[in-house]
Amino acid sequence: MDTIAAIATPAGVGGIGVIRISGPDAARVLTACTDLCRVPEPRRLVFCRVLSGEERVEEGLAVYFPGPHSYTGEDSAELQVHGGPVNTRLTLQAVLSAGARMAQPGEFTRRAFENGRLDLSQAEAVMDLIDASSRKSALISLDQLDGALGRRIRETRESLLDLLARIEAALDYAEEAFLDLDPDELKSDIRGRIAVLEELLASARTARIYREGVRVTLAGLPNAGKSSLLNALTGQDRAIVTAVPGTTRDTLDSEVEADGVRYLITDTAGLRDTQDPVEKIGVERAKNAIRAGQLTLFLADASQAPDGEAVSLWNGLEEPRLLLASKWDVSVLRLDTLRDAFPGSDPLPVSAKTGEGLKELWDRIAEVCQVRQISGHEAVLTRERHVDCVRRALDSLRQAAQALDDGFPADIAADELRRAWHELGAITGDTVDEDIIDRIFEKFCLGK
Amino acid sequence: MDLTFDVLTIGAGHAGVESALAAARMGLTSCLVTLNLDSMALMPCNPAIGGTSKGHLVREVDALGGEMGRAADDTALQIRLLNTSKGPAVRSLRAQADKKAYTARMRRALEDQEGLSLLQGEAVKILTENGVCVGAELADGTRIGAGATVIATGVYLRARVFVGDNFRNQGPSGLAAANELTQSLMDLGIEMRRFKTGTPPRIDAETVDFSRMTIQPGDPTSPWFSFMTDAEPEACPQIPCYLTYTNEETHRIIRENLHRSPMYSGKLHATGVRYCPSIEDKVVRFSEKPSHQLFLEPEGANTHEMYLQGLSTSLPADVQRAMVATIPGLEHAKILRMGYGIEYDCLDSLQLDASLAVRSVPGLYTAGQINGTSGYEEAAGQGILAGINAALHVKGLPPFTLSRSDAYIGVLVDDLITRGATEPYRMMTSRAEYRLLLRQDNADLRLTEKGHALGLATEERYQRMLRKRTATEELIRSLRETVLPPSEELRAVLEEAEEPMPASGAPMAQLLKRPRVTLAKLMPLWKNAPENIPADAAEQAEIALKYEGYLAREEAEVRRTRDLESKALPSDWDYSDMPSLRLEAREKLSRLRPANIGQASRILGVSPADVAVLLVALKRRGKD
Repeated sequence: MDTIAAIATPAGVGGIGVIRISGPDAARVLTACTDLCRVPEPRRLVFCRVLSGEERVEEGLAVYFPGPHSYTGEDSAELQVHGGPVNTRLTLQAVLSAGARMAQPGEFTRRAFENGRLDLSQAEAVMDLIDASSRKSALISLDQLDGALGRRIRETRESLLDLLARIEAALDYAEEAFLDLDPDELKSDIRGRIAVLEELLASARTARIYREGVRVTLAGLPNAGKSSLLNALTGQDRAIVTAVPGTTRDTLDSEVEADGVRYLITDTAGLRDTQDPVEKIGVERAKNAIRAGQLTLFLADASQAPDGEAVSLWNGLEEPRLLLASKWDVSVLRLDTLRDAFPGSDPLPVSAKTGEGLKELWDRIAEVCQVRQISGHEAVLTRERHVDCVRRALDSLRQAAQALDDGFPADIAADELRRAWHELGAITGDTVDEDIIDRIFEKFCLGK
Repeated sequence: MDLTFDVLTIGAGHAGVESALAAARMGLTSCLVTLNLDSMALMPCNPAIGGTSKGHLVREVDALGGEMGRAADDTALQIRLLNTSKGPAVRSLRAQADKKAYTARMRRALEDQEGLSLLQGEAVKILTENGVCVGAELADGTRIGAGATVIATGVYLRARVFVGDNFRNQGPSGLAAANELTQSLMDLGIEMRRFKTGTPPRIDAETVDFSRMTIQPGDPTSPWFSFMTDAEPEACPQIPCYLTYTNEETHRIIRENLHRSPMYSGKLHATGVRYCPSIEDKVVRFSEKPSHQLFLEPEGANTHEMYLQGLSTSLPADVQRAMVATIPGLEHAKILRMGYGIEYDCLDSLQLDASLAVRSVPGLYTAGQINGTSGYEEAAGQGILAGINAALHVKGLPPFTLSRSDAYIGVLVDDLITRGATEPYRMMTSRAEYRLLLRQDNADLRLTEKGHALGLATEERYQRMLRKRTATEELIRSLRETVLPPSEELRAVLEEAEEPMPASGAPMAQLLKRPRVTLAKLMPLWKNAPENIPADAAEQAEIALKYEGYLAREEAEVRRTRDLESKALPSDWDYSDMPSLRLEAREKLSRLRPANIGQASRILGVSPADVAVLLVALKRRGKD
């Protein structure tokens, strides 16, 4: 078994950088790449210098966890050094030259799993936490399997099992008259289960919003005030705001978290017919960003009369779209004028300068993107795999209902119910599918 | 050794006879030892063969080249297809058999079989050399040497029969018990357990008022069990059964005398059958039900004795008389034999592998109720499989196994070796996850080729199957190609089936996809239809087309699980040294030693997380 190492803290600048080492040689690697002359006492932080050959590259803290009482269950060590990509990378280099091998994605968790330190559902939970992009999302992932989701799935499975048992009894005890099946009753029972799963599937949308965030695209003619609005929304001075039309030639992404949801706001180049090759590329990218986003905010400059080109751009946008009357602080128009000029719009006045309308804008965004608040006790599908399982279970239930509708006998329906039951079991880990394991380990982050 | 054979079978019940016949038909010398030559292939319980899922087993035994189906056809008093209003997967044949005639018919088959020797005697000891089974010793001192031995002792090992507090150390129907073999098996390290079952009282038909019961006729159009039986359907006498019910008064008598039932007074400790409970159990466990169904079934053509199905009991004789007298039509009935409970030794089937070999004793196989099953058909299915594998073992050939997607026999054996039987195991269609593929109508298409390759199914049987297969394929092709144009006749057929009329006609195959449209109804509209379409091919074609989508789904699932079955687990793995497995899984895997991941995943106590650990370990091993 190799000894593996990786940077365990997120890429980018941070307070500290952690390099994790795991494997039979962890203790030797630790002493070889530092000035420590012996292995530190277990679970105790000690100061050390990180060495590359004779050269001192960094200084920090070292800690040693002998197996099996470590994350992976193997002998492990950690080096905590100053944050920053250069420091951590140099430290990792030193660790690797001391005999460790670079870890594969997910390898630490895989080893923890193989050594009985994590079970399958815990391993999945770890992955959820790694993937979680906002605090709210992390909270939803925690305990879902033990909590509301697990309970809902188990309840649904139980009720499917009851239904199955009823059908199977009638099939296997052909001569017991009292067991005769009423297809209408079966159908209505199956529909009840379908409704439960549909609701669950709807929750997946919400969870996805919390996990992956919402993509909002700003569009409009050049100099409509997109960059100013972006800065106002994100509270950062990231986009360059100038009065020269076409300043933003590329797309610009900014992140902002609001009410626990992460919004990825993309500022685009002004959409206009241009001969400038660079600007042309920007316009093309803007169009792509609009296609990728969940919502387009179209800015109409309220400081001047409605522009025909803007109206035709607005008409070319797909729903969901929202018309913003920008620069409202210097507006020369009435809202009705804009409403009439832009068909199908319900313009919202905003001013990046005064902040007017920004709160309303956030509310409208949340409304249009169906951002729903989630309580901690709600059953929510968070993982793509779980969504797949529910979708397949739902498909089987629909097939079962369809078969009965078509006049096929109950045993055909029973096989579909059994399939649904099986699929739901794969969520709670009550049935096994080899793909689950493959899928899980493919997705693990490096070093965790 | 006093006598030497290739294969020795101990016990001549429904498992033993199939085992002995299979070994002999595969060209080996086969010896069948029985406690009593007059009671071979005895039916001490129901005078019936088949029933839901059990009918499937009979057809599978037949398709492999076994005897049960033909013997049942030859001695049937009544035969019918159950579940005809349900789907093709759960249709099953059930026959009332003439018990005496069945025993005689089977004895003739055994006597006529070349290479098969019968011998009356009680096996008392399994003989081994260096841990390998080499035969058995009888109570009279006869030592029989054999290359492989099949134990099929049914309910006879240390059998005890109960009627109330009266118990006797004997087997069913006053036959002797076999009291010594258990110890010999335990000496070999085989783990034994004790199960119980029961049977209802038998009634004198002369004393029954049938006018107060509902007649249950047979089905004069029913097919036969065996793919080889050519007799006209009318050849079956179709003697009726009768339906009646228990009532509150019956239940009151049972409740008031529960303390006299050995099952409830604590005298009988063995584990009973949930699927076929005694009337005491039914009254206690389903106390809200005011009545239970009872069937009165003929025991034979030459006797007035009738079997009271549904009233299995071990209550004392006076209670049995009192409760029978409360039942409509049985007010003045005379009981000819009392119902009784019986307990017996069987083994923990987790000690077996998929060929029904006892893993710890090479050359030793077990089949039937000794493996913890109940039912004649379950016994026969195991018997033929054990006989085949005993023969292959002698020939030095690899074992023959059936998977869960091959046959109900495969489901049965897999359940026995991965989940075990904590109560007498009864086959059910719901145990088969691929039941749409494992139909009774295609047992020959599934298994006869295998039986033929083993030298068990005859050439004639094989050719029949091939003809059916070819005719089915041809018919399906024609049905896909033949378009029925719009016509008044077609409109009438579709209207009756509540289906829309296709404007420009439709291929017959497409019309048949509609559940209520049958081939029989479409045939008159088919111009230039091929002549003399065989009925069996028509049935296959119709099912294949009507359920095409569902069949395809199940086939896809079979392919998916076959993947898991093909992942062999190394025989040298030390599971106790895998800390990531839960303790129970380590223990179960070490003890059961599953052959592949599929088997492992079905073991009780091995969780999906454990299976995940095994998969990861296998992958890692593959990489190293």
